[in-house]
Amino acid sequence: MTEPEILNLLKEAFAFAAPEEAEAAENLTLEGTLDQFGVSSIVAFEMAGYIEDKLDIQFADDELAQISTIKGFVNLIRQYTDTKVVV
Amino acid sequence: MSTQQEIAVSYDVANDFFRLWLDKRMIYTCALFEGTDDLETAQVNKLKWFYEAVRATTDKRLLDIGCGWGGTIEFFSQEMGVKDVTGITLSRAQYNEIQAKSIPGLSVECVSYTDYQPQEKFDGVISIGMFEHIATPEQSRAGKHISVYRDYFRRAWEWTNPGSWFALQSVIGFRVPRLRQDVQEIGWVTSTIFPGAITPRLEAIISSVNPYWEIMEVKTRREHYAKTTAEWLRRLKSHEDIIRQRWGDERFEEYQRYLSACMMAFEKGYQSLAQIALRRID
Repeated sequence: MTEPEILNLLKEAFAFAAPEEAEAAENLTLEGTLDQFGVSSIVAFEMAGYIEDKLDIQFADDELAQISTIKGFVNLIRQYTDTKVVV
Repeated sequence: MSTQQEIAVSYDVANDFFRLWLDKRMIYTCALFEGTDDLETAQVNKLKWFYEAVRATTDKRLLDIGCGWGGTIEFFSQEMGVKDVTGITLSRAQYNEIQAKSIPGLSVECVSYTDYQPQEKFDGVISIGMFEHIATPEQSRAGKHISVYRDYFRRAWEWTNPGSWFALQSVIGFRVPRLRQDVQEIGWVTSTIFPGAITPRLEAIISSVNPYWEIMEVKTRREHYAKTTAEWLRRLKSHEDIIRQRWGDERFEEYQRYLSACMMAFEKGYQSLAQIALRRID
């Protein structure tokens, strides 16, 4: 997946996890922390669940817990999608 | 460590309340449903696992940290013939229950492990379902939990003779929930039923035994705790009328919600249960 594709997926996941933050989700950019966009740790895990279902992957909890920036989230998704074994 | 006030919220509701829905020994921890669907038998299975894991013999001095209403130490003393068994608990209600029985060879103290000073060393330690009270949620969030757990293992090491074993059981965090509602239910259980407590992750326990104890065996029993809490919930519901009458609607509904949340957490794999046999590093 390309970086813009992953960012779009994150926007989609954010809107799913926090529908009341639809506008903030639309304005999500690579620069900035999760806090700045109003992504709490609960919302981040909910977003992760959405992405896991969508891409059929499973993030490690400790890696998810360490994410503090949008860029970090994108990198984590890329790491899992790049290494995914297709059977 | 959870404070005495926090422990009272969890365990001092009323002994007769817990008696209605726990097994006859009032063991308030995961049972071992191996070859049985019966809670009473499953709790005995668990106690026997601990008897083996701590390498108990009748002549050994054993300590139970967080001994509950004394079901485990009473079983060791009365049914397995261990002559010298000590339990410590921070719950006054539990302490009073055990004291009232006056069982020879069995002693109990109402004290936190952080203040406990045994007169004589032990040959083995067990601790079932108490580890969750050692670190506070604040200590865990600040990353201080490992050092708190290590201090607990150091104390147990200091209280024991060379050659001792330590058999431990704790709920462990397994997979972080992705659904907000599930996160909220688990959070509600912690803050309402077990304030001051937090479930450790298995790797946190593993990290903190060093340099005092060697890990000899680890078992996880997630399905067994789902089954245990399901049985507790069934029993609770079967006494709904009397519970509502004696302890109020709110208490019944609170415990119904709590046990349902536990079942959900174990069934969905958010939480699991670990039994660990440790050998003292001499």
